[in-house]
Amino acid sequence: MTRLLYYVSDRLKGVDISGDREVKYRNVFSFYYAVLALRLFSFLWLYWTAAKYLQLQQRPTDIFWFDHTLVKWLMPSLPNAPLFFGVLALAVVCNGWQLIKSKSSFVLQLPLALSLLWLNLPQWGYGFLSHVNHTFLLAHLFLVFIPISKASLQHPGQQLHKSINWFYAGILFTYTLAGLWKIPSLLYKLLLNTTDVHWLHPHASLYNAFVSFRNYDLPFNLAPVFTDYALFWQLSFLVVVYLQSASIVAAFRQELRPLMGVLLVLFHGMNMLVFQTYFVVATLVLLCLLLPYDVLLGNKFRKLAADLQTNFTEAQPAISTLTPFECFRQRVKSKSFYLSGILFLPGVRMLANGITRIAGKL
Amino acid sequence: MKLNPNKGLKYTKRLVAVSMAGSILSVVTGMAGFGELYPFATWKLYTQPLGSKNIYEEYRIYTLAPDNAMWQRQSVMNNPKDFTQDEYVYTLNKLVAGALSDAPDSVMFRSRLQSFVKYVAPPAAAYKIVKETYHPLEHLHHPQHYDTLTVLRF
Repeated sequence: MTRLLYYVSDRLKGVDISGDREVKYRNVFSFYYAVLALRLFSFLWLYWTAAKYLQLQQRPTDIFWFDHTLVKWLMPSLPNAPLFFGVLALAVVCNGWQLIKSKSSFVLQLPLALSLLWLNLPQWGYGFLSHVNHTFLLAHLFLVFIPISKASLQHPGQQLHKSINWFYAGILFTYTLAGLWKIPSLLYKLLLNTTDVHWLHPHASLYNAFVSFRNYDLPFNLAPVFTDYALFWQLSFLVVVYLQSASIVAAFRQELRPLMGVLLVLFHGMNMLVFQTYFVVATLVLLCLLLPYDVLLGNKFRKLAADLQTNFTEAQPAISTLTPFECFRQRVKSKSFYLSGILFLPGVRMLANGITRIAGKL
Repeated sequence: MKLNPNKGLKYTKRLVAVSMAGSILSVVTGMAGFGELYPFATWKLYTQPLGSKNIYEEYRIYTLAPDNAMWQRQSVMNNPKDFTQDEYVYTLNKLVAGALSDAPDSVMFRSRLQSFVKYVAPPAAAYKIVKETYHPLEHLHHPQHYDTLTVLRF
């Protein structure tokens, strides 16, 4: 697995025609503020979790159980209030201290990540692992070994830059796996030629939406949306598979991150609206982590660059080695770093180079 | 304490790699029927649309009020307790599956199911768990077209 990721990372680096220094500064700057946003959101999450715990206390004690031996051992029953709120206080202190000090510390982040995992467990104690909050918990876990601080903005080292990319790889991999897994499942159904409704069937989204609503006894008035625009939903499925599968590329391509963030948030939003599939925390975490803070806080970023007397346009590759598409992409990128993200989507370069080659032969 | 960036990178890579391996392993163990070993695998993969087999089954709680001879179907959304719609459906399914199994712990699951039902449903003289089966397209056009089968009663 590590080797595969190295390969993806190296391939991306191989076609990296950007100013290496600029990428590092942007990456560290954006990540610093992303962590800040995550820490602020963590207080809200802790509040929600405390409120949920108070509700769980009302439930009959005998319906609390885990199927997993390890978790059962860790939390045999709903923890008592002093213990729960003690761990919650530890999480508040660890998170708050790192926020105030503007730096992540291994000795505080490790207990924080473990505390959050533990605080989340009671919600999973009613017979199923809901995976609710998984993105949030993973983000805190992958932060443990990343020494980001305000001082890093002045000296964005190569190791830190790479650690940040790996952090995003860990988060986005959950989406990639969900996307990739749909491909063999679809092929299997298509090859077997069964009467089952697969995802490219014109009724697929209608089925999925109707059963979801029925599952929760909600009135379903959306049928025309699916029957009148069946092709839209079939194409949407293909877009979602591509988007999910490709999302890990944004880990090693910062240009892509805000675009991928917007698309994944839209994906979650659509799922909430028409399929009753709610990923509220995951959506908020994506927003915290994938916003382009170097653009949103443009003045600060430019001031930092000016203070460091950094000319981000200095490291240009030899133009002669680039294809016409890569030259075009480079031009777009020098005008708008994040707008060029769309040109870094997997397959776009191959497609453009192919078209250029065919056009050249005609 | 601040970690050395070299070590930070090394450990972050390992942590991410272990997490990825855990996710993949969970997909495999989930398919093999051993459940998910790693809690951060993937949630609601939707590898097939819901109802893709052209038949869908779900369980509902029915109650018999003391002053009423008619069984009353309890809607998921009307439960006044803290169970969210997902929690309600998944916990009910899990408990019913456990109570109906041949495993030795089915008695315990039956007892848990009773506690759960009495907690989420209004007070009643009797309760039953009904399996509702339907064809999605047919049920969509004819809301009354679905089969019911009582699987448990207490």
